[in-house]
Amino acid sequence: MQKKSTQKTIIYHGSIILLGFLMIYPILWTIASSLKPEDEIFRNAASLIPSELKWENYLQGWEGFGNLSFSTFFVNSTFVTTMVVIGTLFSSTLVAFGFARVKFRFRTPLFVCMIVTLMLPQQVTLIPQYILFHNLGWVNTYLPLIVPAFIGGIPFFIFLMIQFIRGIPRELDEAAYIDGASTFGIFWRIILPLTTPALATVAIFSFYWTWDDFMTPLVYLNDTKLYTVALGLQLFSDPSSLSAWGPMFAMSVASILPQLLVFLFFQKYLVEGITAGSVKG
Amino acid sequence: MKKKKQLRSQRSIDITGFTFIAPWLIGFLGFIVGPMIASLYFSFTNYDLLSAPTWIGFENYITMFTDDARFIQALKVTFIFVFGSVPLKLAFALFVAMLFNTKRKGVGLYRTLYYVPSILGGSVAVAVVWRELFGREGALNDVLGIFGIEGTSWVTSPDFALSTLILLVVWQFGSPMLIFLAGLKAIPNELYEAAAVDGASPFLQFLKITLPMLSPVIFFNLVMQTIQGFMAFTQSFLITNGGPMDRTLFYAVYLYEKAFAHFDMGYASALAWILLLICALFTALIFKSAQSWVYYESEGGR
Amino acid sequence: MWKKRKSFLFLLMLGLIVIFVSACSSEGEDVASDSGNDAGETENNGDTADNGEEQIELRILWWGSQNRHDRTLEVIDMYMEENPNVTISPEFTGWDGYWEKMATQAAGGNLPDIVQMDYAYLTEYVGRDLLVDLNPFVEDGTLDLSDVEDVYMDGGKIDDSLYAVNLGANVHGTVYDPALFEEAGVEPPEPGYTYEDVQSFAKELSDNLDGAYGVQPSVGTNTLRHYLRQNGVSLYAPDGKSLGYEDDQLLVDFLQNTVDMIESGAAAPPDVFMDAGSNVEQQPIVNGDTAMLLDIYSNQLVAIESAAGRPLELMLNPALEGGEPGHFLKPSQFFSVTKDSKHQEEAAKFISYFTNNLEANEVLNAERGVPIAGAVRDHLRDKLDDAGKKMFDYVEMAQDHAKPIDPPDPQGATEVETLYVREVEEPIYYGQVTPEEAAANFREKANEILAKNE
Repeated sequence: MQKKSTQKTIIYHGSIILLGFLMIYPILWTIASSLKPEDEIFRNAASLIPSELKWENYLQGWEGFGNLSFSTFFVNSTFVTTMVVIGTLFSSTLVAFGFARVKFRFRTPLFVCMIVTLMLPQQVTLIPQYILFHNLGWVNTYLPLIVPAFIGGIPFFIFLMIQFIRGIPRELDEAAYIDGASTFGIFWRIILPLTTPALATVAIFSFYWTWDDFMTPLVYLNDTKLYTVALGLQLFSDPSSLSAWGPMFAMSVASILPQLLVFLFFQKYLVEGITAGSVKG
Repeated sequence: MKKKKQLRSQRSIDITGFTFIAPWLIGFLGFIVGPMIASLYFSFTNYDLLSAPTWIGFENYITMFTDDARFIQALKVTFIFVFGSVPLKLAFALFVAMLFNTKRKGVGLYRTLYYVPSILGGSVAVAVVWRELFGREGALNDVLGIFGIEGTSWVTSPDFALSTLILLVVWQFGSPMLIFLAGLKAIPNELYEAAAVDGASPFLQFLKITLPMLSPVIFFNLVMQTIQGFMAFTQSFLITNGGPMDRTLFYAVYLYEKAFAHFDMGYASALAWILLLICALFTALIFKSAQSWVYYESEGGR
Repeated sequence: MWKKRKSFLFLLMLGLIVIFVSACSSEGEDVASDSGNDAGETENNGDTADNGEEQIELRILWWGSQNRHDRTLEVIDMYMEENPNVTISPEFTGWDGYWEKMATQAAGGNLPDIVQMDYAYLTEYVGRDLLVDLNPFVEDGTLDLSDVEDVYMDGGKIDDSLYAVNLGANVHGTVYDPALFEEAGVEPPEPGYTYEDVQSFAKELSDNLDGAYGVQPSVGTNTLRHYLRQNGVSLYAPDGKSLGYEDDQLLVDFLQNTVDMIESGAAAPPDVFMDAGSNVEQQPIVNGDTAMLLDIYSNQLVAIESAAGRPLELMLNPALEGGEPGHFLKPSQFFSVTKDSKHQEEAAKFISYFTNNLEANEVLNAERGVPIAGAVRDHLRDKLDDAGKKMFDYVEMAQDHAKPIDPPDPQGATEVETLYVREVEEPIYYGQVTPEEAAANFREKANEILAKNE
């Protein structure tokens, strides 16, 4: 019995690690390229082992452009992303609770409206939206990047939270209600704790979508001192002339690091998520 | 007190409801509706982005259906892409999520590793990397070479390019996987314990407990992946740019090309609204079918 | 009681939203103004500088890579030092997304004062009345082009109005790997070599080399233009309402040449070069998979040599027996002044500095192509590295094989180019159509697009 389970464990870990190599191949490739000399990146593209370790790529990359270093971009990205995560958690939970648990009038048509906004490609609303933000004087500030998160700009998260809240047994609310809890109290004390895994998911997604987003900052930010990391990465390369590939890959690695850390941090809550059952009991 | 609560008027429920959804409602009315209406208006105009739009009625829509072979091609590619990638991606995501829904050692690390492809999703490096995987001298051909099979350049072959892109999105299964994981965590353990006591096999447990309890999340993933599949842009844009010979011309790539490369925002807007109708149709179908297979603990009988 | 609590809750929520929104809005502005400090210092001196001149702010937008950003930023600093009344805020991006950003800003009436322009987009922007005619500034001496020959300026002119100032000259050409030619025992091409010569030496290269092909073929629009010019016609008619050549046989012959090379094995098959992507560094010649690449711009030699890590040589495109010269000086990119600019004269002044100042160009180091001012060229020549010298020499040599540039592409040209890539170039590489079919199909659809210019 003991032996059988050890065998199972070995197979489990073995196959996961094997498949896992396929998963992280691109990151290994990026790391390898970030350490290669310039003339080796494409000449020896398939090799994962650089002939010499060229750490200068990291230095040169971090120095950035003119007097604009990557620390500026990282600070900017951290600020924007943190605000967006807070905003997304704030708006998506409240709005989702409203849709999932309160039977107000016009609930269904409004929900349909929200889902429909997901279906219109950004490319065609970009221009009118730019003109709108331009008239508000928001261009060249972080407002067009941050404010939408606070007002439910990404219905994906709202819909996600709705689905999770709908999965929570209603008698929990009713019991609390009988005990004299307000609607907000139910939201705050019952629903929120029960949706911890979902909240962690929302946090992870909104973090890395914002961190990675290139188009919105590109269009709305003019002053290079406001640029985010995703924009900064684009500044290394120009397909028609000499691109700084080494530094670009180096900074790509640097940009992936915080994303991995955030993921490692939040994924704990996926494990430790309080199950509905434990509260119920 | 208790009685009063039960007699809550619809009006007070409305107030509560609207209070909760206020953030979204403000954003919707303030920032979304306007641009959406604007794009609907553009779709009936000839608008080159840089000078004022001129009204041309339904001309854009008529051209699209009567005289635009690339529109038909884009539709074809997008449909193949959606129906090829969504089921595969969801199945794989669910499989991996089940695999990682244990308390085994190292599972947190594994989850992170398996999420890596999705983190890299839109980054600058990824286009280069994907070519390294599926190009002529890429990693895949190295592996095939071991078995004596001579590969070609998969990403640029007219016959395989689209399949490569489908494979790549399936490979980026991280976000549905996470959502499945979160969903699996929300299933009360007691259910499994009770079933185990009754002697139900793991497969039966999966069928009778996991699937129904997970159905709201499966539903969510199905809806979102379908919509995102129809709107898919990055993969084709970064790696194949619609080519070769339009074999990977995603709808959104075509739309983008019209809007920003050919300065035909009017036509692009018309394309966008047709895409919206297609998405809406499929979403409505999924929502309708949901009544028969999605189970809500809060609403269903038990 | 309940109701009261409800309305309290409502107010609370509203308050929260207001606080959140305003909090993050002021944060945003804080950061905006914070980070503007460097530039802000000059601003803080008040609206007038020491000498009582008006304080002027210019925005300037360009795309490029790290090399270009560093060099351009340094020149901007030099300029601001010399002109304390001018503050320039640099806005730079990579190539990706550049045109979306431009289009969005144009739609919002918020274009920077100076923008970097590309030849392919010039007509689209001029046609929509977004760029300023710079001739008045040339006439009053603000924009000094006295040291610039006409051939360098022609690319930026439409109907005799100067809408764009060339930042560096390019000539299209080919690049070959001398080591592989030697290894195969094949004489490298000399100026004047013909299309037939390519056929034969490419075959010889393929046969003699182990695991490498003779040439990476090209039926792209660059090489097509070259061929059409050799035949005395051009891709677009002067009025821009149709294609510029009458006889489809021209396109058929041009395509057939490549089809033959692919069939004979002289040229690499498409799966060798199609996955190279758009970056010059990824072309197969870098890896030694082909000995020659038939479509490149002179300034790209720098990038391709650096990626290959060994010397490569620039060469003219093949000559047509009894034909005209096909080469021309092409502007690599321009600076244009936009209609949204409130300081058009100051913008022109900066462009003049960028074009003529020797120290500035020493910093710029011909990164955008061969400088257009004669004095600058002479000054830089000796200071260049090997790749730079090759580029200078090539551009000079190519002028003996050149004739004036065709007029800028008409509106709709980007759409015609897409059509060409999708329905001529790619299917020809993959052998999916015959040259005859491709040529007829292209004429029909391209003329349909161009007819909109009526």
